[in-house]
Amino acid sequence: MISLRTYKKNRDAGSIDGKIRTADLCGGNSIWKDLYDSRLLWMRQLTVFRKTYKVGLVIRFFEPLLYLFAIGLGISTYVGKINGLTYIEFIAPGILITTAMWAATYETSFAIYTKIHYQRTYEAILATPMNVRSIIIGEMAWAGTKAILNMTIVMLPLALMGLFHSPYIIVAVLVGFLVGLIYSAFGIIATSFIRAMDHYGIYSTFFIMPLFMFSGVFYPIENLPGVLSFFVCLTPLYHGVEAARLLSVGDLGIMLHVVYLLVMVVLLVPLALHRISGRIVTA
Amino acid sequence: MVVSAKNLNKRYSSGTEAIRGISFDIKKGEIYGFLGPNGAGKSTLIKMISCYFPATSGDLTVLGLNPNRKASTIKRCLGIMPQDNNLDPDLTVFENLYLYANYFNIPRKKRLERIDELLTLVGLEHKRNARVTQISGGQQRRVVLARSIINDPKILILDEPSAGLDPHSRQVVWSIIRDLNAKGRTVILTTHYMKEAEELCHRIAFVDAGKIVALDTPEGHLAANNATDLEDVYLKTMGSSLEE
Repeated sequence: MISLRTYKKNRDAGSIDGKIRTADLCGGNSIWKDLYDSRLLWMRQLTVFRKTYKVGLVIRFFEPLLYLFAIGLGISTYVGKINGLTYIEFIAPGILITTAMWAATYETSFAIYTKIHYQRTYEAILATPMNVRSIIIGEMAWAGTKAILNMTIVMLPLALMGLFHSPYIIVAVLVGFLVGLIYSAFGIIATSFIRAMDHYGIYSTFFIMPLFMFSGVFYPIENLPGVLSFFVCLTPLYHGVEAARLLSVGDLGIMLHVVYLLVMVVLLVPLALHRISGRIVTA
Repeated sequence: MVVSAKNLNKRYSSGTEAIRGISFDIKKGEIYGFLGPNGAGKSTLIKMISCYFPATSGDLTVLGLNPNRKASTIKRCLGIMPQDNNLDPDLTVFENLYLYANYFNIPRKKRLERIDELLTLVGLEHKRNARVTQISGGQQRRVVLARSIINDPKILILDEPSAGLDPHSRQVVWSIIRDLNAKGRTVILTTHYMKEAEELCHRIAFVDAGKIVALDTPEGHLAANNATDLEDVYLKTMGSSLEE
């Protein structure tokens, strides 16, 4: 462990001791400059998206509706009301929020892996004034944008079907943005560990799918055994789902859930940046 | 000096020592070549000059600035042509150039003019709206070259510029390099191809096992080794057969 002073002295002399840190790959840029530059990566994503969005949007539109109708309509006849809501009304906000999780997971798992290892997109971008931090912040912002976009697409038919009791459900899009940022960070952290594309199966089967199944989307978590419900309370998806459900019935008491999600964003984003830097630039 | 390196070392996190105490100075307006076998450390050197990753120890300045402190400022003045064609496969030739110019914050009007100018320069106006996956490898290489000079760089860094090129594309690339140099731009290149080094470079550094083993003008190398061509010099300097 060297002192900060020695580290800065070495860095200024062009000499780095030991491991490469994210900051070493940022060439002395301030975080504000990198935040500003990240819009350029976001614009790249938008350019690619505009070429392929039609098929993608159709898939995003139908996938959650499938869950909703297959599980919702199928089971609702056997299930009574939950907290005054029909079963399909109960699961609709959860399905809406998980759309954000799926969007962010896709954008930051396969998509980023391909850009690092196959297309070498980041290598090309790093030859410009952009750096690793501006690239990854741009990716997360894009994942958040996709979360908002996909949620909006899914929200429209659900709202038209009268599954939400309050227009406050629109606020759930912002909650979904936070969920999108969090799951983009998880996706990036997973990508930093993954050594082959097939390994994403481990991430989706043992991390994303259990979250989807156990985070209170399909039933109240009070039904789970005590220990399990405690762990579910720690997951960001649960807080997103709860906030959306409250909003769907016109309850604005979502502050604690939002604060929890914000804290997770603050903790996970730097961790994701730290993890992925060494994968993008093998130094 | 546009690039100055003193006792530069690079050890990868894997433990590989790619560069071992290299020192060199590259003057403004010269074409400087690094020649050597695969794994000699040429690409590592290029990546450090390009601010891609930092050196493990030693001093490096590019345009008088420290890459660890001023990478964005330095990269604004660099044009980098990598060994592989890392174009965006989802996009067209035009979109690749347009987005790349965007990363340099080149204003929109100037960007469009510059793209037209560059497509004419590399002879690919007719491929403007083709997806990059639908054009030949040689044409892709020319798009990569056009992309690397979109910001009108002070230093052009080329890693194996003519690798995999047909003779026509190679002549196009060489002529662009010569023209840019005639306008005062500094060019740094790595190559395996002796003729390329002989045709273009003002000075050539032979790199082997992370060290510069000989540095001179092409004529100087020939005289010092009593050789007739650079291939002969290479064999005498490296003591191994050419990999090409």
